[in-house]
Amino acid sequence: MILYGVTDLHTAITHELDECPRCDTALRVNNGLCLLCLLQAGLTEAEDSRSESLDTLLSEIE
Amino acid sequence: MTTSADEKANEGTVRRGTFVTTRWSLILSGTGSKTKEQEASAALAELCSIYWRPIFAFICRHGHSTQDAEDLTQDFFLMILEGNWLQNADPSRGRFRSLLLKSLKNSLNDAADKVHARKRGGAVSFISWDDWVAEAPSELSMSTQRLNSLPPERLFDVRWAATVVERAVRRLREEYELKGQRRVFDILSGYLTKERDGVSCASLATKLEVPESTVKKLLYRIRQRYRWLLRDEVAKTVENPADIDDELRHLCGVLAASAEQAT
Repeated sequence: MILYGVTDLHTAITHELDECPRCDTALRVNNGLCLLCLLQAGLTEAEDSRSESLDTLLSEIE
Repeated sequence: MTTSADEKANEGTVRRGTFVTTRWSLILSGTGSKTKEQEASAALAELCSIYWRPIFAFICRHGHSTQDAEDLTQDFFLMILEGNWLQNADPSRGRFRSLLLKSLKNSLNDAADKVHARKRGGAVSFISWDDWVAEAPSELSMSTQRLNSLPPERLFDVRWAATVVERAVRRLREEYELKGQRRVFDILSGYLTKERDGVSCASLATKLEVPESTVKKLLYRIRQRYRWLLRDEVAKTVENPADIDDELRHLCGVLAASAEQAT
């Protein structure tokens, strides 16, 4: 990994990044997730929420 | 900002899952009383502290050294926060992002004078760089080819999009941490997007020691919550909550266009 100071000191710049198989972009953020896909997730319709609450689900985990 | 602080900040802005008012609308309505002006000023300072990276990246992309870019970013924020920025801005105003970018372009027109003035001393600092970087580390990575192909305006929007997304993910992580479930977040957050739809629920079930059916529900929940937090972040920067989708589409369009430009 090469830090490229001229443009943004705090952005990691790499020579090669895998393109996202879904959208073909190569901008990555947390956990190597695709930035565009993470953004598009905000546009998708909320699904049916008739399921247990998060707390109920988490209670199943030790 | 912690999750609890965020939730507190959202009190009165969210009703039954719907964004009612936004920080940007609060800022735009911040006239008429001292209290309103103070609230608007605080909200503006908060937005500036969130979105310093796009501004810094834009200035760097214009060819300024890192040191000069830091100084110019400081100057820009001081102009925004201590001057009559809103009063002098275009009456039609628009979104926080577009108005900020327009003002930044104007501000850079006399950038050389500002840099020279700073070198003579007498400048005031708004930003504590070390604090900001430590508070909100960014993991955005892009290829050299892509970086070199981006004009400053597009880099600004890419950086903006990354800031929105990374803040939403950070808040999501903090929520799981508050529930004592950081490990669950660490395992599932790699599957927030459809890109990872080929996820093996069996494998995740083994890691989490729960049935596959529970994994599916947990994945659904974490994606749903992430979506809400992302839209909440965008809501802060648009005047009308109805504009959230348009703003998201704009940023998605910029990222898609950037990909085409780099090929």
